[in-house]
Amino acid sequence: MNNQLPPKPPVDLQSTRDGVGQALLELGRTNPNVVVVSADLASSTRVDWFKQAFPDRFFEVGVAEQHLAGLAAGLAMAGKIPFIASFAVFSPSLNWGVIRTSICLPNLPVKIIGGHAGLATGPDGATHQALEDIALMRSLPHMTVVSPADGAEAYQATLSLASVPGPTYLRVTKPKTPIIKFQQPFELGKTRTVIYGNDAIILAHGYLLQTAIDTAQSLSKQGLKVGVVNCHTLKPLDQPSILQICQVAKVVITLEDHQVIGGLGSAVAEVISQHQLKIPFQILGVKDQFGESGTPAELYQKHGLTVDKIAAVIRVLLLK
Amino acid sequence: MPDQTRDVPRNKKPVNHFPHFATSLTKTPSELAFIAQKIRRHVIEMIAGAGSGHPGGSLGLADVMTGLYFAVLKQRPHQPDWPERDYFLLSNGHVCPVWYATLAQAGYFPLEELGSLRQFGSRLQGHPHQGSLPGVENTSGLLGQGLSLGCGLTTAFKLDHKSNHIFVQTSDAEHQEGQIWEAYRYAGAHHLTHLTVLIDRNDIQIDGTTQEIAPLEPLAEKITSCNWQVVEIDGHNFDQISWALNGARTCHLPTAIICHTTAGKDVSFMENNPDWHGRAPNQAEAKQALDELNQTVHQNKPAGTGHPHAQPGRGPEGLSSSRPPLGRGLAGIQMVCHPRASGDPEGLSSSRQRGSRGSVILAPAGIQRVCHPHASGDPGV
Repeated sequence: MNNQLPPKPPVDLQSTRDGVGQALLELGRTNPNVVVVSADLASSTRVDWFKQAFPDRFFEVGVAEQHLAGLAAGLAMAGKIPFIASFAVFSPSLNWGVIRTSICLPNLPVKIIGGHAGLATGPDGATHQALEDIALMRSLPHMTVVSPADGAEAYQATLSLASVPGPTYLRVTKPKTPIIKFQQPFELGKTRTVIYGNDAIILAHGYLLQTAIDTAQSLSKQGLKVGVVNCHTLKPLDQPSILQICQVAKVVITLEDHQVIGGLGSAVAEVISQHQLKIPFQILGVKDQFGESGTPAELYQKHGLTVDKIAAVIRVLLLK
Repeated sequence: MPDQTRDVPRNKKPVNHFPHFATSLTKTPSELAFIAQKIRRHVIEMIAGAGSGHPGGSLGLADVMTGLYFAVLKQRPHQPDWPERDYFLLSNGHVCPVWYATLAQAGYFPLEELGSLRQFGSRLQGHPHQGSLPGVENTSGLLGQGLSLGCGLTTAFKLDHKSNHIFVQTSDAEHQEGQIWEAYRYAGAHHLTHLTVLIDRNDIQIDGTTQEIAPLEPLAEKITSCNWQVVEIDGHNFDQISWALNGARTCHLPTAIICHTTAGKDVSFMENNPDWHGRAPNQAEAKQALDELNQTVHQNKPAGTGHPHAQPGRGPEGLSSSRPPLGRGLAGIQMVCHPRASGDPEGLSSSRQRGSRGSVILAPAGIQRVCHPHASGDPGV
């Protein structure tokens, strides 16, 4: 351990990747089977903190994401709990076939960390803005998918995922965000309420949960009680909670920094359709397009993922 | 190490080049050949019964698989999860009929179960699933992934200071995948000495020959450039199989063994024919194949008369057929080294000694060459 290690969470402003880095340090201390593998992005994914503290249990494959997944599968076959870290466009997107065959089919406990996800990645542009990763991971049997909203939740999620006996995907982002106050403690597979309200309920995850909160607060000034629920675990989805929300809310919308195809919106739509629920429902996200360079704010503006536009969608749905 | 002799009368004494590692080398080459022919017959019956499958590679690999499970691997068929075992991973999963048949023949599960290949509810899946059968250690079917798994296993055991050896079987056309080269580079850079890859070099793939579809040569040189040792053998010669596979344990580098084989081996209409890569024989074809296999008591052939590619003098570029023997017992062996040291006799000598941890390994006659990446005395290892 050296004195360059970061302070312990929670802090007021933290990125989800910072939360992962902190949690891996904790896991390194408490679980000797935890190992970390990087594909030349140790610093950007914050796993370099683990590397400094536990160099013997850190492995570097270089720019080789397929081998990253395969090596991790072999480590897991020998009883290790490997965390593999890269950007989401590389892992799990570029190496999806390896994850499917070598990790998910044999149900190996490989922990995938996909960083720099979504439009939040900003100036790097479309090539680096993973907007399909949740769809890719959600469709794989045995896979658990989590998208934490802040650094503290990323920390808790990372600790929890280490104990899951099968493969997991943790989606994290680059920007620092405020720590959000939740009504319930973090529990894998269970939604967390941020704001209670039944006129409309926004289901969100990851970086845009804060936007959902801002929208609810904006609409409350107009007399609307809008609830906000954090669906950090996209798979397995907290189906009882979704069903309950659909029973009490007048309108349900989902909000995410991901394609509208295959993300949280699709997952909730699957629940609604399977149960023949009749409820005004809309999926907000990126509508079957790629991103581009720009600040996250500019990109969210273009794709209609801002407070004003979300509030307008809710008002229109309530009028129907 | 006791002095190795290559003058063992063939088919009379057991193959036992590395007695300090070998555990149960009680089979003579002719006994091994007899087992391999049984396995080939199982393969034909299984694939014909299933109505689909991959006979070409399965028949071609029967000798290597027999050598592995009856003369090389430290495993316990009745305790497949024995912690001290050697691991065997099949990366080219489509030839799993020969794996299943070999495992059953070695006692991992009942032979009667072989007939359930590819049937609904069977443990003998069309491509291997990890844990579906005793002895099946990995999931494969998508080419290029197995060597990465081997790297992961080897890395984990190295971390835990365990010495389990990992053998990974691959196909030659599989080396057209990019991931396998990611794995070669990783293993070479991290000195994964307990990792050995076997390459089924039958020169054919689904759509034709590897040379037509996507040339692989110079394959050995490509692998040595990743800091591996490479040995080329006749994959139908049990002396060479046993020598190379057991010898790989003693090397201070990861070792690749290029096994020159004949796809569809010992079934005349299947041999070297890409059409039989993934096609099941019908009843008449299966009968003919079984008749041929019954007639062929495959003998362990004298050195140098096995697969044509393993004959001295027919080496890829850089090999000199007129190079004089390098020492007693090495007649017939051709060694080439890393391109940096090509043609350097001192380098050759150095590689031979360093590659065997200071002792000269005498290869059975017919071993084509041993490639070593640091023959120039590069101290990088």
